[in-house]
Amino acid sequence: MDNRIKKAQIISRIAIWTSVGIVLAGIERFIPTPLPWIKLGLANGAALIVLYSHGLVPALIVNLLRVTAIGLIFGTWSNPAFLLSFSGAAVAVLVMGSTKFIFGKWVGPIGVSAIGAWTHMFFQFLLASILIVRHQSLMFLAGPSLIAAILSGLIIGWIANEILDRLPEKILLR
Amino acid sequence: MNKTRFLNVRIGDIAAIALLFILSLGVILFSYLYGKNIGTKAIVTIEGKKSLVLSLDEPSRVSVKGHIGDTIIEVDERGVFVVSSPCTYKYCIKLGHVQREGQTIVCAPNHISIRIVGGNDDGLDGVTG
Repeated sequence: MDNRIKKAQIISRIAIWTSVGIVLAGIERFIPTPLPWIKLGLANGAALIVLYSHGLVPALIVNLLRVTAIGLIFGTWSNPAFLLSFSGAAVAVLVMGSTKFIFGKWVGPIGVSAIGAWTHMFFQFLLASILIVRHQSLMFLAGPSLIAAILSGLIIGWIANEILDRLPEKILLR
Repeated sequence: MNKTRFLNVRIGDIAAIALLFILSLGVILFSYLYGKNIGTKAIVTIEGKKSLVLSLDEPSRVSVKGHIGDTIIEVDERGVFVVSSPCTYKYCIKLGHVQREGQTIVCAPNHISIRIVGGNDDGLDGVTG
């Protein structure tokens, strides 16, 4: 009985954080940025909070569900950009999770978020240059975009860190 | 939870950010060293008119008649180069091979220029989300 309640709780938390991620990703579309692929990554904040409160697998589920839902809502589903988003989100969460697992003693949410954002950007550029564009000029965009990813990762990591500090233990299910 | 630390930044965070910055700078450096696209065609312009298109894929040798005489242009696996030219200073020959998009050989006295262009630009674009 107790086990079933715990399972239901986890599922409902995943649903809640996924919806938070979807709303944040929707809001993010209205925030202007200098280049279309440079984004704040607000939705990644939701995944980061789940990673720190529930662990790697729930965070992975939350992020992939969020990317799929956003793809369906905004119609980017079934175009090559969706493939980039989906795999980028998966790789980012996996790298964040392993960073937390291995270096968790020294690195907090801010560093983990920066590493996740950087990996997301790097992997998308890598995949795009292999699969879609096959044009070396893409490399000129990669450097500045990676710097921007570090900065946005820092901002999101700081916000997620503050939220993790302030949310009651009961909500975080720690 | 300890809230007195400044912004909750830990030592590892700073180390991680420093590492990421170094990696990004590495990517920038790499892109500037190897990023220029290798072209697919060479456009030869004589007297201001585009008159000849050479493919960089197969080796070839052509002679074109310019303002003061014949210039011999050759294509091999390293790109396009000028073999002989009737001009005085032979700058076009000293320039050697060119193969990257946007590079140009100019033989001013003979009114000939050779420009490398790319070609396989898909023009694909999209926003990931």
